[in-house]
Amino acid sequence: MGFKHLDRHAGRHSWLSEHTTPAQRLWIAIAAAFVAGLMPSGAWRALAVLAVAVALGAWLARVPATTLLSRVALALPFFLLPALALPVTVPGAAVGELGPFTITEPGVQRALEIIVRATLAVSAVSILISVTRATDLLGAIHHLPLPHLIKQSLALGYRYLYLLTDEFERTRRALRSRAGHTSLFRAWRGRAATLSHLFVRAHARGTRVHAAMLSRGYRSEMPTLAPAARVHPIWTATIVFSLAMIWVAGYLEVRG
Amino acid sequence: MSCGSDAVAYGVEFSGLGYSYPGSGSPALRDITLTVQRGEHVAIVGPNGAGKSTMLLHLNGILEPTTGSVTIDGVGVIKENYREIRGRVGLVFQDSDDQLFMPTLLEDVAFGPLCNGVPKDEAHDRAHQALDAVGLGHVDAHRAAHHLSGGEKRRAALATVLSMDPGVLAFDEPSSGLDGRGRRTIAELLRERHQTAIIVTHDVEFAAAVCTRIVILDGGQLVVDGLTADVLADSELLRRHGLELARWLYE
Repeated sequence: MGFKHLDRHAGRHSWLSEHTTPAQRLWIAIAAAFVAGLMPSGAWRALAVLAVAVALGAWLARVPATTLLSRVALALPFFLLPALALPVTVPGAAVGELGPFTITEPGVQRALEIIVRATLAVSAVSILISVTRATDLLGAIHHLPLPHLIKQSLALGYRYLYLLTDEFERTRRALRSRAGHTSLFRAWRGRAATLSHLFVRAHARGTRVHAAMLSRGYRSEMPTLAPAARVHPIWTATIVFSLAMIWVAGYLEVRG
Repeated sequence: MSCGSDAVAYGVEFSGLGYSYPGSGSPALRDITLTVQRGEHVAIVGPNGAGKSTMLLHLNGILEPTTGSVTIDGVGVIKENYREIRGRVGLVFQDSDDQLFMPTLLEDVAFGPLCNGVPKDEAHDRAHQALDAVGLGHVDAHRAAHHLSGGEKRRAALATVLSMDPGVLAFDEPSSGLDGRGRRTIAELLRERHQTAIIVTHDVEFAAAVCTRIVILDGGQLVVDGLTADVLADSELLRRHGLELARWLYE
């Protein structure tokens, strides 16, 4: 199996895993990510409080800091690249020069804000997937008010990710065993060919899986045995309420 | 759920069945007429490209006949009856990974009953009974199927249809890719079934172990229909249709 890291920490016992259901953890992570994303600009103290809350969550979930940092690092390019353009594109008071570009104070502030918010949101989601088995998470997602197609794609994606990575490995090995030592260009061409074969195979498998689903009575909705999400217990509501309060504090901080 | 002797069995009838794949010049199936009695176990054997799997896909309307018809215990396999027919016919595909598509094994086995309107609690019980019936009661059913071995996946695929309590079991190459022990286990499981069984296979010994009757399909046509012992005794007939027995069966 070529995709082992999904459930690496999910079996580990922690306060968070023992006192919350997967559905409650999902709602908390969504709330934290939304608060980080919607925090008013310039609410640094509120962001600091949120950072403490996320760190507390990581401690309660017993997620190693290295795991958290490596996952944030994985997502870093997606928000770092757009953030780096802001110091020289946002107008405002100049704080320095970078070649032909002028670095502005509001630009630097906006870039830092994007990095901090994204780091906090990614950390909250990382904590969630670190203490929740992927299958439990899919069960929780099933009860979210999302289009059926998205939920079905996630469930099938999880099941077939393993097969696709295995098939990719086998095809790559077969290609390498015939190709010997090749130039970088040829190696990339080989990888592209492997991926295109994989796409064709994935399409063929999709057709067969659909036939298997129809054979067992599938119409348009994938039923599940997962119990409906319980989102009312007092302290889960307290956590979500506290996150909302952090946002309110940020709003009041900015309004002065 | 009926996993044992009280299982319902339905008869199957193919009448002048013909099928051509869209865009294909020659028909994949030509004028197939075959009656399978309730509770009978019939093997459909033949060389590659004979149309065996194509024939199987007509049992529950995955493919629609170009000519002729198929009925399950008198109910026609037509669009209006698909819901009823798909509850009556349990079709197990060749690749178990196609059959096991849900995130957990338990959900896979419960999928059929849930789709057919069985309440959650009952579907849950049925899924556990079906897993017990195929000897997978000890497996953690809350994990995904990729943790299972090839033989276990094949048994799990069988459980996915047993939980639906079908009257007809249809299998596409149930013994392919299995080692000796896995093959024997699947053969024993199928032999114990009291439902009607239609088994498509290249594996003549496996067919002999499970079925009392063998049908040979070649070039989209039904060319032989006879008792297993009679068909296997004619090695020239088998060779003519691209089939061979292992040496130990000759001796």
